[in-house]
Amino acid sequence: MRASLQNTDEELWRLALAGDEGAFTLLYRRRQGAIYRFAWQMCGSETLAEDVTQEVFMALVRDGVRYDPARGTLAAYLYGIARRQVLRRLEKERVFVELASDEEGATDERLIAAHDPLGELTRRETVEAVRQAVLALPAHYREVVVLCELHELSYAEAAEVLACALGTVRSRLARARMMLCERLRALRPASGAEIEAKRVCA
Amino acid sequence: MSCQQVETWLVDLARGRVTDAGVCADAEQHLAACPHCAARLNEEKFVTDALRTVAAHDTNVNAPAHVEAVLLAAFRAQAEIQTDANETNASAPVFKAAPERSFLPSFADRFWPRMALTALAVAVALALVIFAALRAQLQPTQPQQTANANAPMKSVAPAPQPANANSTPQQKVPEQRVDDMGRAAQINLVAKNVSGATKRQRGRAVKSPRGPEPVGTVGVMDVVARASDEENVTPFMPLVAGGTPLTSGQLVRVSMPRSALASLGLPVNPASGGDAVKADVLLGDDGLAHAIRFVR
Repeated sequence: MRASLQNTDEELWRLALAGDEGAFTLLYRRRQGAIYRFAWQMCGSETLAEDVTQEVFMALVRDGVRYDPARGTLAAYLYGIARRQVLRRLEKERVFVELASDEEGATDERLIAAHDPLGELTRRETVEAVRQAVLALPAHYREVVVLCELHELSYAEAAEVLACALGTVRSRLARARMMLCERLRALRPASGAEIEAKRVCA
Repeated sequence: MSCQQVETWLVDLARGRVTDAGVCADAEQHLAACPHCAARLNEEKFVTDALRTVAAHDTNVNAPAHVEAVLLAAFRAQAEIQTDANETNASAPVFKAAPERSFLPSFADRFWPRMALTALAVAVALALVIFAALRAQLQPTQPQQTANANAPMKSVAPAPQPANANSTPQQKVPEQRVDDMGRAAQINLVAKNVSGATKRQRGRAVKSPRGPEPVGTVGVMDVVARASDEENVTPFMPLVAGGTPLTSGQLVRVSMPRSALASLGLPVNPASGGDAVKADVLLGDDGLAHAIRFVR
């Protein structure tokens, strides 16, 4: 069987185990973005995200036989390795992220559209503010937000990655979102319902 | 639906993940009548929108290209190693196949480092217990004289002596004198060597480590054992200031007139100045007398 885009992750993994470099390349290209983004969104450092991505797939090359498809998806397995790597490095390097960053050019300039600079500037500022708010969350809340909200994993998938109960994921997500509400309040214009709620409460 | 019940569904409602139509209808009904819950839902929706904006913004973020190059190189290297290992069996997979999982290997995989550490700790503890037991068994068989010999030899600085005019001169050795000479450490070293040698030679004929003893002298071990066993001796008093530290030497038993104690700065009773007093002189390999102690 030749590796193709139609193959599932697990099929590509088996082919890669048999020495199929094409399968490994396809698997890497399919999953590297998510792993890299997960690490980046968790630690806010591109260098660290790069190292983590390399380590995750290096682990697959070295110890790929350890993955057991009966226990879960390959994606969850890779996220799990990435998570452990990130937490270990965060603990080791104590990466602290400032909430307010005034640094010019801190964001990716490629993503600013020329036709609506004001709108893009606002969006960029919003994205940066939200990103910083996420990074300021405690790690066990942050990972739930990154997985469920930014990577759109289901509660069950996130629970598999985090090796915890589904209810834990739900409660952590709710708590994390409450924190984000507090941190992002300045960005949010008051809606009519809120004005009405304040009036009623008063 | 109450405010509390709506609160439990708010996150899912804001994320559009509630699939139960009944729950949706009940929540909507409550939200229409409750401004507080409606405001909370708006907050949650704002968070959802903000996070989705970030997710959409990051969609095209990927690892740098050189990471792929590094990994492919590693993959090729690994494949080469495995191919070499499996070349005798052409049909074997390049990488080892995933092992059949059973409880036992899984348990062993997970816990073997812990088990190994535990086994090591138990082995060390066992060894310590055995060592302590053997040592306790051997301790009573040591000759009593050896234990006694160590006590006076280890202490060079003179212990405080009772002030008694009739006591022997060596009992009145001023403590300050020994300190001033600054040789206590060296003498102590010799004393320790001597006591160590005594232990090593336990159960054997007492013999000088440097071969036949000179005429008129007594072997170190012999004197130490004898003095400790039968006699009451003073601590060693240094005779030479400075010089090289002693690593070995000989004890020579001498007899000297009590008046000679005055040359060491010790008080002498003129009435008994003519009496003889026994002393052990510690001779170094350089032939010099390095220390002296008196036999009471």
